[in-house]
Amino acid sequence: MTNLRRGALEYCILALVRDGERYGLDIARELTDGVLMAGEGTLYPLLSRLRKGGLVASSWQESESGPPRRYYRLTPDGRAALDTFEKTWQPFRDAVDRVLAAGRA
Amino acid sequence: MLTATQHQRIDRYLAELDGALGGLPETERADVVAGVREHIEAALTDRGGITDDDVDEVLRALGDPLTIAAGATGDDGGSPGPATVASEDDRVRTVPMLQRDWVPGFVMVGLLIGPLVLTLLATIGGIFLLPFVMLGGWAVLWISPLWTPLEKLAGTFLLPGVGILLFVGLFTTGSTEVCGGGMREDGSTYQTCTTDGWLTPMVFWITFVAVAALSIGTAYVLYRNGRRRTAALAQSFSTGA
Repeated sequence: MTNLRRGALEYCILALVRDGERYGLDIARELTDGVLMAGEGTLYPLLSRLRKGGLVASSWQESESGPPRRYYRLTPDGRAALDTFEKTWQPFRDAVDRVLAAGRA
Repeated sequence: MLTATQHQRIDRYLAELDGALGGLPETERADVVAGVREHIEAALTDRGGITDDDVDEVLRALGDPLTIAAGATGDDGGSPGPATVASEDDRVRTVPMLQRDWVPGFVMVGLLIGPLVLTLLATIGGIFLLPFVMLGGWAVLWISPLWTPLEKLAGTFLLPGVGILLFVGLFTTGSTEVCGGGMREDGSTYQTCTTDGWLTPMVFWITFVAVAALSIGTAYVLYRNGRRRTAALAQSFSTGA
């Protein structure tokens, strides 16, 4: 996986847990569309890094069926990182698009 | 439930993943494998009767262990991801206070052992410590993220149950025993006692044994789960040096 994709994916994970806690399987299914993530398993090394970096936190919660699940939520640090990313992403994407279009012309 | 073959297949997949993640520190590797294991369990629980095909499908959706490992160990040097930036101080990071390995023991002492021992030491003032010990136990139980809400709720009431019942039994008069005696005409003495009130010794002891069993059962489950989770956390947080 390229660094670019991995970096973007990490922010996508942060965005998915912004509005509430979610567990791994739930996040994985949301991201596995063949573009961002080839397989669901790719999520877990990223989650582990985000947790170690203090951008997400986790807690165990009861599930209706089966063993307790680990739920992930955004930390204040994570929220700040996501906000910064959102502010720079649009101009960044536009700039790349412009250069790509110019190269084609 | 899973058949032995299905278990084997999952274990083999996880072993492959563990092997493929060889480039990561031991600690992070265990964290990733635990996450994937949880994912498999959750994905299979969502289904009804689990067939071999279900297991294959879940493992296929996860992807090749080598691909997962490539994403995890790939050239870490210049990753623009937020985690890399924020985790520069990884080596000095420690497990948060209320998720360390002493936390389950602390809660057990505060809520199970505290009320029992302090009740027995009541005459020398132990009873005055009781509110502090129990409030401490409750606070840590609820603030620590080691337990699920249901486990916290059970711990709140069931852990101190046995101690509180002992307290009630020793220091309140749920019943009164009235004895009368005298001397019969033939010179022998007699004594009769009757017990009034709702709390006969019989009822008390039956309740006591039941509550004690509940308290100890709860303590066992909470302590075991808590320790398992602190162990997992300690692994994911340790320096891996």
